Amino acid sequence: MAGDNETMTKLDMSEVRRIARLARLSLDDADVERLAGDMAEVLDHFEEIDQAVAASARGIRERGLAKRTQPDDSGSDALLRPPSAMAPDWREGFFVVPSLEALREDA
Amino acid sequence: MNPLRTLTAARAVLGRGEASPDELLDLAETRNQELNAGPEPLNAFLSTVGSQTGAPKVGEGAGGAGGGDSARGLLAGVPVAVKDNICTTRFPTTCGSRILADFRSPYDATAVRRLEAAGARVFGKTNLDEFAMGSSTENSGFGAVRNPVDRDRVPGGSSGGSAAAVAAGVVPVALGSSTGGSVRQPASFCGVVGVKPTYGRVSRYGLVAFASSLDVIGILSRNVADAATVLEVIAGHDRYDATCQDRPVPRAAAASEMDLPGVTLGVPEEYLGLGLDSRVRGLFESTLEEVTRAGATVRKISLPSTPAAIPCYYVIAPAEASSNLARYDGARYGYRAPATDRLLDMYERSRGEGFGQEVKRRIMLGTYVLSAGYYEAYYLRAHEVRLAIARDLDSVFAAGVDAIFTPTSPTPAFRLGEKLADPYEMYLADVYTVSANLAGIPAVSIPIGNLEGLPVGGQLMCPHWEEERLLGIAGRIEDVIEYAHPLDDAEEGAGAGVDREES
Repeated sequence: MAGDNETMTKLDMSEVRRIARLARLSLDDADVERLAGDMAEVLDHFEEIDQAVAASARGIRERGLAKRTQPDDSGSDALLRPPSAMAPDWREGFFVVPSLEALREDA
Repeated sequence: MNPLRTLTAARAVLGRGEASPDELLDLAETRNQELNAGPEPLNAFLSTVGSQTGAPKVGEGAGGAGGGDSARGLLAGVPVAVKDNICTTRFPTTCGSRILADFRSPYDATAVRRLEAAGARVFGKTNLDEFAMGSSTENSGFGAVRNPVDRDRVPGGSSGGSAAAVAAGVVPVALGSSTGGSVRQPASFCGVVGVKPTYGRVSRYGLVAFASSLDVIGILSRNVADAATVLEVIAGHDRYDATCQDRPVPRAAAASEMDLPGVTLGVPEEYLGLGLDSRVRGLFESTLEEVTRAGATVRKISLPSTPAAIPCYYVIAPAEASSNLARYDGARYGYRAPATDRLLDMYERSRGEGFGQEVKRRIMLGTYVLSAGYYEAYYLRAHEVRLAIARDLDSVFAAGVDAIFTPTSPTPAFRLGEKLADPYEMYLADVYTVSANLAGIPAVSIPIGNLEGLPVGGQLMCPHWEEERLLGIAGRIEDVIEYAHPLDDAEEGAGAGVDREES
């Protein structure tokens, strides 16, 4: 594991605390220190992606070749269908969900 | 022979009337209890029929009375296991997380409904890395799973409970889920078959979301034919999942219709580096020789973007996870921190106390790469790299390669605790499997031998929607290898199958 002095990406404690607030996570000081090192290591590996691969990836976007990675979804109209077509139950413009009482009984 | 080892064995004892479906559930319960006895419990299950109040009895279990086709279905009366991030109404769905310790879904996942409609009896929910984030099943909030082959080692992850349950003969088949290799890698570590279908082949309705563009429900079994049968049952269009495609379901029978002569296997040179254990490489190369002798053509290929797959994955998956897991805030689900004065405190403390370390690490990473100033540098760039990886794979298939064949993981199962202190080292256990998830293509891991008594898997990948080809080739390689599982040797004495020990 790369130690803090080996990483290129610097994440100081205040930056980690800022991200924790955005993520709605309470962290103690030990968590913050540990996460700063762990996150920096992952980001460093991303920075080190081979230049040839990075250039190939950029080229895909620049040449407009970006095809979707999921099969067939470019031809699917799934997301064009109205919500009622996908809802398990739909009445008068609303999704119908189990009542809280029914959930309590199930439990 | 243990009737819970394979679908064929279970259906045979049911067909001969030697056991009833309920008796097979009882047998699974007994076997599970035996495996949990002693100082090194397997811990493969978080809940079972026997642990549930009001457990289903004869006629009221899954596929029970009035089930119509269920009594004659492909899986009639067969006990199956379901990973605990797949929703069930009969059992809690905890995702291996303390934050969902008491959560019970109000609905069943489509895959579970289809298993039950085919007559399967859900025996229990299997342990996993919390929210499927991990490669060793040590990140569960309810204790680590041990590898049934060697209790000092991990079963792989995140579907480690499902892999361990199948390997140990508690159930013949189990559902898992794969976001980066969570079915194939534990299959490799436990000596079983693990299938990751094409993204969009199996409905994700009821699969608790981790990284929605990568998640798929997969299958673990002792042999390829059993996995093909379960895939035929659970695959197919589902109106509750907009990403689930309306395509013909792969036929299980097709898995026995393929011949190796005429098949071209591509072996990427990049996969024979990347930290590959030299003993695993040796075993893999001897497998290549065997499949060549059986008539397949092996061709060296290059997938130059392979080394970028793990860094790319660990930007995209955490980004999606940080969004998907925002819903667990103490207000609507599970654990809520006590005695908080402000709403924001309640959110932060509930999440801080409810999530484990790996989940917090990934939420933090994901939040960081999506935050202002970093989005383009990390998240957008990762998407470009993902496209480059998918294009590499497309090019290979377009050049006439029928399937790509690689080791499944660089090493056999490692020791419990060995990689916990170094998250990135743990992430590298999936170095060969993440590309299939990033590209959305189907892949399978099959056992290719044992090293010092530990199973080793080989991975096959095919183009989108080619599961019949994938499982056909996997089935023929399985026939050539005649793998002998270490636990079967222990149960039945050595000699049941060809010894492929390469230690």
